[in-house]
Amino acid sequence: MALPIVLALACTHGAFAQSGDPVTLTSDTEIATAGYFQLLWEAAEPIRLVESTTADFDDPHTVYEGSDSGHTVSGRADGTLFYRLESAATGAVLVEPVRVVVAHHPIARAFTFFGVGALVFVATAMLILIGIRTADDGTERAARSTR
Amino acid sequence: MNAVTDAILNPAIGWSVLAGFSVLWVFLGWYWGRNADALDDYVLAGRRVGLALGVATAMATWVTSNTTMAAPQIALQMGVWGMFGYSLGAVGLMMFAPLAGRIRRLMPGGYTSGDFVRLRYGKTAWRVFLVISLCYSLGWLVSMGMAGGVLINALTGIPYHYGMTVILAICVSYTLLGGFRAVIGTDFVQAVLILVGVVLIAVLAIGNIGFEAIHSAALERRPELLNLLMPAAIMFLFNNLLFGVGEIFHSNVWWSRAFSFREGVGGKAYLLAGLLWAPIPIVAGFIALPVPALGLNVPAADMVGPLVAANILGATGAVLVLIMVFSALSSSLDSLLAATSILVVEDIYRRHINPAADAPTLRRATSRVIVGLGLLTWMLCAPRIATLAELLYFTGAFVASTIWPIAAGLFLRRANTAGAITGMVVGSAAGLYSYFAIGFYVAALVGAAVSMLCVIIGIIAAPASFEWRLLSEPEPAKEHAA
Repeated sequence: MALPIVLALACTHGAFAQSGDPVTLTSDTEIATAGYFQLLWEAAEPIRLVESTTADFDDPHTVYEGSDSGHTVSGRADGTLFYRLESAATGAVLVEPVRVVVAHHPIARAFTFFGVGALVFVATAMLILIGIRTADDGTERAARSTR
Repeated sequence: MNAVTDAILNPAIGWSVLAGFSVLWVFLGWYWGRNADALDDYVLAGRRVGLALGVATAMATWVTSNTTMAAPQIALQMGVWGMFGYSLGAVGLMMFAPLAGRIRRLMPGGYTSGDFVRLRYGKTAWRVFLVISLCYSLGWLVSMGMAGGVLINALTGIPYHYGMTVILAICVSYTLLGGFRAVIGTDFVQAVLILVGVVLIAVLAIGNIGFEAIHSAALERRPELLNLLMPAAIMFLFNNLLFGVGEIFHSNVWWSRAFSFREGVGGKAYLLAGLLWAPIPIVAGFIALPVPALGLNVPAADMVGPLVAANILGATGAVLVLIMVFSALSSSLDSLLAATSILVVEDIYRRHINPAADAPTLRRATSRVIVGLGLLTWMLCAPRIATLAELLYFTGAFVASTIWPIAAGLFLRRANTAGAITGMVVGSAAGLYSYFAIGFYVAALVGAAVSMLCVIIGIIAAPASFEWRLLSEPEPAKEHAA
């Protein structure tokens, strides 16, 4: 899996535009288990953020063009995504691509946590309901009798 | 960093709106608090708050950066379940309703949630609790200071640090001037502004774009947002519910209100506030779903609410959002400043540093702590180290571990000190581990589950026999008069 990526990166490296200010592109995670992640970049000029499902950008798709310095990706299904920055003016590739794998948690794990959460909630609610009905300090009975 | 370059409002308009509302809040703070010289008046509004103000202050305080900024963020990240999961935060308010009445009856002269833990479980548990509560309070304060900076930057282009500084300075000023009376009074005005604003934005969003366009664009570009079996969102549901319960059960923000409400008001006020609050995150979260239809760039997830509203509604809408979220942030920041300051003064200053302090000394100390908290929050907000939701849910690991020590401590004589301390410490540690190992959306859930186990094991292994009358102790002024 890693070899094609390395080769693709090596092939595209020579095409990177030269400029005085370093251009960076990073993701806040390499594996997005919740289906969302944030891309951040620094560039001195307006850029085009391009997404592809292949390392050599066979199916490029522009997700943003302008002068902002970040982009939030969310709601994506399992898969591997590649991102790169291009100059909005010239189309030159400005920085090495970033790879992010979207791999949602297994559904069994999700329902296990759901079940544990439901159990804690029901137990807490029962503690309070039973506690009110059987309060043995006399304050609840006194309060009820004055209403 | 994460900045927008094409803000919809001119910075001059942004500064004008901020200046206008800042003057209003500070004036109201001074007006409502001008006669609050006594300690009880300043920190607990004289313990005479009625039902209408009680509902408004509970609801407005719970509508915060959480609801207006982080609910759209969660909807953008977790989709439909994110919106509904967020509204489960209302359960915390509703479950606190019966606790509020019992707290008021068991501790008629109480000041803080720390008082309860100290009297119920002893000093070691109290100190553990104080660490948890102060960490949470700071986390919440910082998340709201950050939210102010993010909001103002997103709508007006005014740099993050300027906006964050203005929000904090205004809230510190009017809380300082008017104390808890000012907090509750401004909460009422702010609650009305928030409700009108949220409903108006959602109605306009649906009218301008339409359900069909929103649904089809989301299905095409962000399909998992509409997937009811999205794993992280399923994990998030009870996590958010328990996080809300933990926040409310332990935090002095809610205990101070329970002490300040008139006898018999607390239960009804919290129940009504929960019912009124529940739809708000759904409406606020919905604001994020048109992002695919609009083709809008969201530099950071916590900016999505104001960005979408401003994009759909134009400059007028942006002003509306600015007023609404400024109100939401103010209503929570002031409450937290007031409640945390009395927690610090009562539980740290009076109980650890100056036990002989009389009521006027405590009143002056409260003012100084409010200023100090404001400065500390500013310093922690400045680096902007995380997104709002990440920061907020980091504290979830801590607060959820207090649910069972608090609830069992209020209702079960047999709940013991060892179980409570172990529950808070081990529950927090387990929650933190899961935060980093799995994600922010399970931290509170794991913390609550582990803590519950510890408390139950403690009850079974060594049941205590607590005397409820020990929870009633004299107020500071009366202690020194005696």
